[in-house]
Parts: sequence; structure tokens; C-alpha cells
Amino acid sequence: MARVVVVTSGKGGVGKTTSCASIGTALAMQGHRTVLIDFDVGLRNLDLVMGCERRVVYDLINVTTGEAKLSQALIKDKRLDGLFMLPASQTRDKDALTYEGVGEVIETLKEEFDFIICDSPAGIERGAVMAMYYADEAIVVTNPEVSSVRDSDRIIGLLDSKTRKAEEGESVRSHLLITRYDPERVEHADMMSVQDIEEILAIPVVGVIPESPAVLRASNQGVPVVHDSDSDAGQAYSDTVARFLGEELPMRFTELERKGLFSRMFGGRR
Amino acid sequence: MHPDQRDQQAAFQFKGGNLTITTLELMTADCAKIEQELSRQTQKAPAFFRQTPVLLSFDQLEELPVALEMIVDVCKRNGLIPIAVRCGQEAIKKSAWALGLGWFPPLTERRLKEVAKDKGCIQRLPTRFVRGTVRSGQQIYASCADLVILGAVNEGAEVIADGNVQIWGALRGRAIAGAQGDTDAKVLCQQLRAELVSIAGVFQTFDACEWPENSDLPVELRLEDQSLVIV
Ligand SMILES: Nc1ncnc2c1ncn2[C@@H]1O[C@H](COP(=O)(O)OP(=O)(O)OP(=O)(O)O)[C@@H](O)[C@H]1O
Ligand SMILES: [Mg+2]
Repeated sequence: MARVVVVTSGKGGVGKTTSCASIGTALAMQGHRTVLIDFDVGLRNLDLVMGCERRVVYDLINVTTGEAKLSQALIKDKRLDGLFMLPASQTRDKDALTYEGVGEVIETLKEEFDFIICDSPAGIERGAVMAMYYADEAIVVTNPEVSSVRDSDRIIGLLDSKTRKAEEGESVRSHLLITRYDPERVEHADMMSVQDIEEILAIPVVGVIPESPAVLRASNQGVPVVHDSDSDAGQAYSDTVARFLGEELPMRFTELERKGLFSRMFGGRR
Repeated sequence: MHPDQRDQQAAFQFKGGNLTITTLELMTADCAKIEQELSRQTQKAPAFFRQTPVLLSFDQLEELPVALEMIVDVCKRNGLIPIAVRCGQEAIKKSAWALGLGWFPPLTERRLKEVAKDKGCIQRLPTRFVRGTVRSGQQIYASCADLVILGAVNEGAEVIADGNVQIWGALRGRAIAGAQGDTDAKVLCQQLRAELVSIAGVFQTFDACEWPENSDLPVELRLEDQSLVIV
């Protein structure tokens, strides 16, 4: 059975698109047929992070309006078999997306894929609700700061009420993904700890991604950071996907490393 | 981070706290009338009008448009220094920001006070139970009944009962008990981190850092002589 997963957050710029790209990539690396759908109409950038922006011809809206066939709009990843993406439109009006249209696309994709990962736009408006509506599961992306946690709380409320699952009296299984985590700033009480966030949001943590320069490096190159298996963020995303698939792994990169002389001399973290 | 950067003194500290401030509750947006009234009052109490900071409140005002810039000028000419506005109208809020003034949301006090007058709900219905966390943006109301939340009430969430409110987790949002005026109603919670608690229209807001002692333990909030006490 295909699983439809929305990556959502409420607050903008917390790392949804970054997470989508790496989670989708890691799923495909493990042999799961995976498609990423960009719902951020007008601001498409999942294609940039995936490094396929120059191959976009048709987009999600073209498919829902019948201007293009699904097979024409799907872009195959250059590195991995079994990984595809469906880009958002950069030029069309947000309201051109309809629930029926999106529903049909997702139903068709379910026949071909194991995972359908939806990259939600920020906010709590129609676009975000559209992205979550057909989801079976959600990955709620949060940064360790009060405003982000509060917006995620709001989004979890919407997942519990505005989705098809909720309408059918079931619930969307939600996972918490904490990104841009910086143990040093947590230690100085500038940021909230994993425990604090988990206590407030009351959903299980599927991963903690450290704040890392590897992320920006990777997205500038159009290579999802999970390909960079030497980097902390890359490893944290691999762990996250393993947990998402049911493995039990301890959290890494959540404790402050006491820097030894060696790492201090060579500039510390990679 | 360089090791000795950490030893440096912080440049400032943020502190929460309550400050009493004079409110100018406007009944009209007519600058001429406001000016007339202000200069009359100035003659009565000149000492009061020496660069006194005031909050401009538009809670009572329904008429629009409001020329905020002109009202501010009138105040300044008469020795008042407007520092912020309080209003529900989007347009006034925008002009306040444009003028470099702060903005506060309208008082909920009036709404709370109004319901307190109504003693409608003597017969109680069965308790309403809610399982799980009540989240930001959600509001739950138990009409003529007690409300039990088997979870936490998060910041930005609001739980209301005409009877008692009982929360098995932390109260981080707003809890309103005795919403129709029952002064015996109580709010119970496992941990008090509330934004607001109200009982029979008597309410209290909590500044984030000033938690009463023992507020990590289960607490009961009730009314004693018209004021809210934490037990
Ligand atoms: N773990 C991380 N470490 C450092 N930078 C990060 C990390 N995760 C994300 N970023 C950076 O944060 C910025 C926002 O990330 P991203 O675009 O993934 O967020 P988003 O939630 O999709 O934003 P939007 O709401 O605009 O769609 C990007 O510049 C990205 O490189
Ligand atoms: Mg994005």
C-alpha cells in the first residue's frame, strides 16, 4: 500500500523542502519507489534542491487541468532509479489547484509508487491544507524556537481536523522532525531542547537534524544533503528515514560535543 | 565561539513586568472635539499633562475612518505622548505601526464581564471530556457543563466551560471557567503556564516569567472575594 506523507510546518523557512528532498532520496536509496510533489505554487524550489530545475517542462497544475499527462510532468532523478518529482507551477495562480484534481493525481501515483511525499507551502491557508488533505502520515518540521513550535502545534491541530483521514474519523499519523538543532544554543537556553518541544507537541520525534553548513552547500549544488554521508546532517536524515521505516535508533547530534584540543585547532565541526 | 567571548557581559536583558499606564479611551474620532476636551482638562490639571505617556484606546469607538496621525498630533500639542494604540481595527493598527507606535489587541475584559452578568446556567449537563492535547487555534466550549481535558492545553488554545475546567496536563493557553457567571467554578491543572485564567469574568493574565511558586505542581484556581486565588 502506498503511503502519502505530507511534510509540513506552519512557519516558513524551517527546512520542509530540505527535509522532503533528503527523506525522499533516502527512501529511494533503500529501494522504495518514491515521488515528491511540490505544493508550493509560485515559489517552487524543491526542483532546485533536487537539482532538476532545468528539466521542468510541465507541472502539477498542468496535470490537474489536463494540459499534460502525469507521465510527461514527472521528472526522474538523475542519481537514483525509482525517485521522481512533480514540480509546482511558478507562474500560475495558487487557486488553480483543486481538491478533485490533486486527489486524482495522488490516486494515480498510488498505483506506481510506495511513497508519495508532499512538500507543503508555509502557512495555514488553503495551499497548506491542500498539501495535507490526502495524507496518511505527516512529518511536522519544527525549529527549536517558540514561534516555530507554536505554528507546528497549530498545524497538528489542522491535521487532526482538516484532512480526509480526519473527516473519515481516523487520524493522520504524525511524526516530529526537529531541524536546525544547535545543542550549544540549547545549552545557553537560547533555544528549546528536544524534550521541551516533544512535551509541548506531544507527538513522537522521528529525527533531529543539526544546524549544519553541509545543508546550504548541498542545496547550492542541487544534491540532497543525505547524499553527503560524511556530514552530520546527512547522517541525521539517514537515521530519520530508518526510524520512519520502523527501526529503533538512538538520537545523534543532540548533545553538545565537548571540543577537544584537536577539533579546536582544526576549526571544529565540518 | 571564541572562548573569551562567552565571559563578556550581556548588552541587555529582557524583563517582563506590569506597568501602569494612562489610557485615553476615545469616544469619538473627531479631532476638534478631542482637542477641545483636552485643553479643558489641561486647565483643570496642568501637572498631569506634562509629557505623560498614554495608550490610545479605540475599544469603544465604532466610527471609521480614524485619522490617527491627527489624533496623535492633538495629544502631543496638549502634553501627552502616545506610545501605543489598542484597537481591533486593522486600518488603525497599520497606521499605528506606520507612525512608530505599538499596538495591543482589544481588551477581552468587556466580553468576559458581559457573560459574567448572565446567570443562565443552573442545571448542569453531563461533563464534556476531550482526549488529547488542545492545540493552538483550537477552542473548546462545554455549555452548561464541566470540561475535562485529558491532555495539555497549549499556548494559543482556549478551553471554556460554564462549570469547572479540569486539565490533566499543563495549562499553557487560556482557561475560562464559570463562563456564565458561576463564581464557585474552578480551574484545575497539573502545571500552570497559562496565558490567561478567568473565573466568572474575573480574569488574570500571567507574564511569562512570573510563575507563582509551586506552579509546577497541580494547582487549583478559584475565586475568593471577587479575586482569583491560586491554591
Ligand atoms: N539543518 C540545517 N542547517 C542549516 N541550514 C538549514 C538546515 N535546514 C534548512 N536550512 C536552510 O534553511 C533555509 C530554509 O530551508 P527550506 O527551504 O528547506 O525551508 P522550507 O520550510 O521549505 O521553507 P518555505 O517555508 O519557504 O518553503 C534554507 O536556506 C536551508 O538551506
Ligand atoms: Mg519549501
